[in-house]
Amino acid sequence: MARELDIDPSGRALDCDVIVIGGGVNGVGVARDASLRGLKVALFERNDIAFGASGNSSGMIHGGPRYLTYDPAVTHSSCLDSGHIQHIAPHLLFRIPFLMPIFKSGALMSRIALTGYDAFFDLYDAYQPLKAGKNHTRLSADEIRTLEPGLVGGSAGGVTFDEWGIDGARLCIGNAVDARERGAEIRVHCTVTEILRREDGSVYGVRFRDRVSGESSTRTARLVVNATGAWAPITASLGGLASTAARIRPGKGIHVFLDRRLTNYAIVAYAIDGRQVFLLPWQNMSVLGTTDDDYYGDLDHVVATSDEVNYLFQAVEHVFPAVRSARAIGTWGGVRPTLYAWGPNEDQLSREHQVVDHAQHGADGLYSMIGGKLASYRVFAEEMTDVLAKRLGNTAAKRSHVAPLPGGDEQVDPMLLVVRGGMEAVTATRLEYRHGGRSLRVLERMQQRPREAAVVCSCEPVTEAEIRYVVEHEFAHDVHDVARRTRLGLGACGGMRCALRCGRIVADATGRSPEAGQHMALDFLVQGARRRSAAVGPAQARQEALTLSALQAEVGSRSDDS
Amino acid sequence: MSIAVIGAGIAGTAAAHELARQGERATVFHQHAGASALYSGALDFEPWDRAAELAAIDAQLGQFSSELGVWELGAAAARVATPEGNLRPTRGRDRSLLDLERCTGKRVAVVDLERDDWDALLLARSWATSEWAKTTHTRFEPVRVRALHANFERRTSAYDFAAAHDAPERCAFLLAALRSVAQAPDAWLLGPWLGVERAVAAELSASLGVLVGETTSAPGGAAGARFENARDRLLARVAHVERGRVVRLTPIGTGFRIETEAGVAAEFSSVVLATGGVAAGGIALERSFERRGGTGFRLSFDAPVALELDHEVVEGVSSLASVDFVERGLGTLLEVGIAASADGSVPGNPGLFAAGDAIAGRSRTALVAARSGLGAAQRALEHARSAR
Repeated sequence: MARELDIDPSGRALDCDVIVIGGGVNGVGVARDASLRGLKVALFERNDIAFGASGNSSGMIHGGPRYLTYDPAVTHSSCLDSGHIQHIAPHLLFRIPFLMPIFKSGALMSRIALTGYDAFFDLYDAYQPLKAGKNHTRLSADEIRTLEPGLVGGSAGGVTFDEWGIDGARLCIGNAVDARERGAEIRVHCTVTEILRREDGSVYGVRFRDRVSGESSTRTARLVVNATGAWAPITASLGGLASTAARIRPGKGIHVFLDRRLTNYAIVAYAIDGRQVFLLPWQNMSVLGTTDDDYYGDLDHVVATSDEVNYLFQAVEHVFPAVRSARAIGTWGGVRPTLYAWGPNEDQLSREHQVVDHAQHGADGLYSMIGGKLASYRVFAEEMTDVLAKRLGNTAAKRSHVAPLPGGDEQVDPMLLVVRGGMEAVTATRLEYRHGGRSLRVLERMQQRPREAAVVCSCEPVTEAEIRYVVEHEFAHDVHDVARRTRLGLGACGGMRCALRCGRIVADATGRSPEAGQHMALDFLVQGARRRSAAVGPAQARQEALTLSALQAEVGSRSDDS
Repeated sequence: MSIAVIGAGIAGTAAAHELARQGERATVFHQHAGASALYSGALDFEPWDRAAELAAIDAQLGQFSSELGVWELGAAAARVATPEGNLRPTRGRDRSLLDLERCTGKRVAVVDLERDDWDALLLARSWATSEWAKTTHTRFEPVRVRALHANFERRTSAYDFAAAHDAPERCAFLLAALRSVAQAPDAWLLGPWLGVERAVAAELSASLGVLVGETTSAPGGAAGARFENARDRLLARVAHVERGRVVRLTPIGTGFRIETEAGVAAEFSSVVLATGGVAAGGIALERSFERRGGTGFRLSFDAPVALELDHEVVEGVSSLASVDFVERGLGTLLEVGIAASADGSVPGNPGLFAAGDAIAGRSRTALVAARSGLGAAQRALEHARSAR
């Protein structure tokens, strides 16, 4: 390379090797992989880690059975990577067995369909050992009724298959924390306002603004990665590139969650337009998902509408009628950054992610990560890091598939937390799920300061010690951030019992005033109510009204305080 | 024919009381209080409650309050502490709530005990940093008190913990715990835990010789339970109580026919409708796919009244699902109600008077509800007497 890669236009040495823009799963994945290989990394996230699609996905690390018929190599690599993720973060994965009832009119068609699926999953079984999955089972109608009495319509029988669920936000946090512990600078609530370019068009860093303090600054680097998901075209334009340089087809997907697990199996259902949707038992609740619609609205404020909610209920109702009387307590929504295509559906593409080298657009040193999904994040990050490493002459070994994520290196028996910390069993189990071996660090806090053992959010449950831990060690800055990391305030009460208390704790832990704590709690409650409102039913409407009136009466406004 | 009151929250209870005061024993139909049982114990204060109206505190309201026996009303604002960390003004309060205006410049001890829903350290700090505390030089200090009887009490509900203190021996236990604190403060501030039947706060104040009181309650806490108990005692004295859900209100000739779910039917010359808004359950939200007919909001029972929102009659919504709150805003849930004129009379239904949160666009405060209950009772009585 003829140009001086290592200095900025004023001749100063560059701050780091790689700047990553975006704290979604791809961004933190690259930050971690590059840090593991000894590169100096800085990451900037406009909102919070896992704010976008990564924290709002279906929460699955699936093996990609859909590719099996035309591109089995993808299925193989997906399953292999599912195994890798299990190996580096065993605490974060939980088994989700799927149940697929067969709906075909007529006995003959049904039998043909069932035999077809049976044969198909026979093939898939060959890959299951890669991800410690179980083989599929062919079920009769009676067996389905026994397993899931609430299910109707599977009169021709069905098949089961095995997948893994994950808390996407925790996966992102794990990657970000690991990157920082390996030397990366992670800046949350910092938005990049400009991608800096030399006269020859090459990229040498970014200008960013801290959205909390309002201060602007620059950071320079040899290479810049645009890993901003659905924001990718906007980010590209910050470097003076046409937004089509990092083109995506933004697809909004929403999920509705219910207050409890309704089934043991994930149920496959079909929506009015023939799309597959699921009713998933996911952590301690049930999730209905998902929709897929082109979306060109504000990416910072993606909210499910009641018609989208209805679409999902309508679909699942056909196979599981009781879902109608179940209690929906909220929604989440995100925007997939799918590969741009005019006409063909993106799921017909054999690979769903690609690295764009913007040298072709005159911006040498800038790369965009386009597409991708939660389940393939590690492979995608590795591919991106390979490009960076080659460019930078780095030959360190790839280790992101063997080096454990924080908390993944040590198995902790939740009963130990119960015995040593006096926690209730549910509290201990949930804590261990989120933090793995690092739950011992939270336990240690409680032992040193017994006051912090108090359960702040009883729905999840979340202790004060955990709130303080995620503020101190996991970049949480407000109540939204704490909720993303701990699921605080996402239960049936929508945070009414805990948001203000959490706000006080966060304000205290970050040296801000109690009033600031109240404001962040209020913001959380108001935003949360907006997200819940689409799922609202008659009973829930009362809850929302109560939330509002209680808020009005109790919080009022301190500016009136005189 | 006599007068009926539907609903026994603050508005309905005030109406029944006012009718009795004027010599009319009303029939009260109810199935527990709704939103009123969830109130915080603070009655109102503008602009804290963002009230568009302030109920006049007059002799009539004062009489209802003293008859109810759990409120303290005053023209001068009291100031109470909230578990959200604020010090809020209020013109009236549940009398167990500590009035900080009586503690200005003093040392208020915040009882520090190991309940999960209580964090004396951060609460005391939050109250202490408020403008009011600074200007009045009132101090808030957490003081460790061994007031838990058993470890499980860390996690019992605030209501259960409050109810436990109705037992005299439990009250004595708390008294001893407060007494054992070395340096007695000028006042004791506790969470909403001081009984739901007896006036535990007053008893402790008398025994200790210093003020003892509570913060406001979260929804479903002690203040609402105290109102319900007081309401039951009051209604037993002044009204016929008919427990059960009203399913239909039909105009007949010069009056109304009321039917309950249990099959009870009776006729009345005038009716006070105090069934509350969405929060109380008086108004329900529907989805079209539930196939009960109509979309959007409806009254929770059959009655010939129209609902109103932002001064427009609520009709079906043009969505397959329901009202779109992302578009309309959640405030809709608090605003929607019966279309009624200022005095509560319902257009097209002579003899029918709405009260409390059931009316569209009203401020949802305790005093506004009580005031409108008193007013509706007055109008219902006039109507019934002119019909005779």
